[in-house]
Amino acid sequence: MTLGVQTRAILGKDLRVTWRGRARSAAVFAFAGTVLLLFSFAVGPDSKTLAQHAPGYFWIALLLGSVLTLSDAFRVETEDDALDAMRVLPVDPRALFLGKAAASAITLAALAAALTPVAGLLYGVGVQGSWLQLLVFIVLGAAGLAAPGTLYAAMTAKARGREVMLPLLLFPLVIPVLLAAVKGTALALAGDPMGQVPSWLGVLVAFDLVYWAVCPLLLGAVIES
Amino acid sequence: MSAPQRRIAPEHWFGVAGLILLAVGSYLGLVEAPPERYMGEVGRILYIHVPTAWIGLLALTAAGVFAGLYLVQRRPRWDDLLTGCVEVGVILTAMLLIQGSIWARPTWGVFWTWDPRLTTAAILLLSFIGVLALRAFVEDPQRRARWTAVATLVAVLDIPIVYFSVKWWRTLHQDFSSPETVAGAMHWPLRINAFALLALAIWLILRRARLSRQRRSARATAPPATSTLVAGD
Amino acid sequence: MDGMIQGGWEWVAAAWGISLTVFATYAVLLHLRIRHERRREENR
Repeated sequence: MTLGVQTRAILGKDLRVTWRGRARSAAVFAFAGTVLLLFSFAVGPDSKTLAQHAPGYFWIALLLGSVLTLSDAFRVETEDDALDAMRVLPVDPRALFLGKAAASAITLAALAAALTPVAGLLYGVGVQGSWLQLLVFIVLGAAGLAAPGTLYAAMTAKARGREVMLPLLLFPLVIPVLLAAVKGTALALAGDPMGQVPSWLGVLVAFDLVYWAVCPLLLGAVIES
Repeated sequence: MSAPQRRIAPEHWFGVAGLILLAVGSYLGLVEAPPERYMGEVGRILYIHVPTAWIGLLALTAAGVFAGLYLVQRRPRWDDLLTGCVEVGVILTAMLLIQGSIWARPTWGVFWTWDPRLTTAAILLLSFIGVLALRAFVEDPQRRARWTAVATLVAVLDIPIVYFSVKWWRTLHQDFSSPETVAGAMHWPLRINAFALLALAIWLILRRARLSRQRRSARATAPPATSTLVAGD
Repeated sequence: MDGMIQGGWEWVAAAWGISLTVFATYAVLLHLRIRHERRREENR
């Protein structure tokens, strides 16, 4: 079986698992929505401040939700020792990584898409710039969270203290993603008269390229027994 | 039991060289060098601050190299050195942040500014503390070594991306930290202190590696019943 | 030398002092841990 076929098989399996556990995904969505709501209480009823920082709050909520999504993706493999079974089969670890990371990226992008109208209504912001740009930053940002997140989730799914380890490792690492995605989202909402979008797009693309190229090669060393 | 004559461990020569160089560099920086044109005496902080930044970054980069070597060759020696590099890198980065705050207070009137280099250092510190925390959570030595190497490699690759993203996010810093931008009298203390910290860092990395090696051999010779007591690295 | 910040030795001393203390503490701790390990090895 080629890498592509295996990747698609694992991607399909993971998306099916996510779909069957959609009650859980709905709970994650509700959690992220709660975080959005909490920000308005933390900031106070100053609608101007809220609207101004809406992209930041949106991405922080997504980041907190992503930890739950990412750790779920590997918990289902370790719970029934499914990972050991997969190791016995001739599955390329690179395919395992690409399939799982792609499934996580899709799930995260869907979560972000579902969260967008909530944030828009709650903070009173609308898209005055470009919808396409918003979509691009959401997809690239979700991909940036998913690649290192999947690798770390593979470690922390089995480790002691996994609840704290995944965010502790992931959050500092994805700060460039957070910066670029927040700035890009803000520019997509408000318009980009200064032409700043390309440099933030560049940061996201560079991050995605580096980690989508390197992490597949590293997963083998992580799950080796 | 007659105590065998213990020879001086070879890594101590790095420590001796480092201390001598540090004494010379500090003398030049604190006594011989004139006060900085704008910063006055406070400018002397740079003689320790800039070398700390250089050697800290070097230690973390070396950690990335050892991580790669471990993943390819799987020799425990690389894991020992990797641990040393990450620990010493974390200590140097923490020192760097403290010095940066001390520098920022008289210069800009605040202890913290979102200057790209300082911010990058703070993010790096958190990343590598995460690596050390991960290490502390895994008992199986081989798995611990593999996971440390993977996490280190991932964190090292992030260094340039973090730096450039933070730089674009906020640019506010005076360009002080290369010898070319400082006056002639400042070159020597800066360079000598850089070599001093390099020697001290190598000394501590080798010490840390020795500790890991001792613990590994203790694990190998310990009877199975007590082997759980010497877990850890 | 107009506009030069006057004084400030206390900041220099703090930067140097804290840095060297951190380094020395780590070196001493490492030394103690190595000695502890060696003792345990010899007692076996």
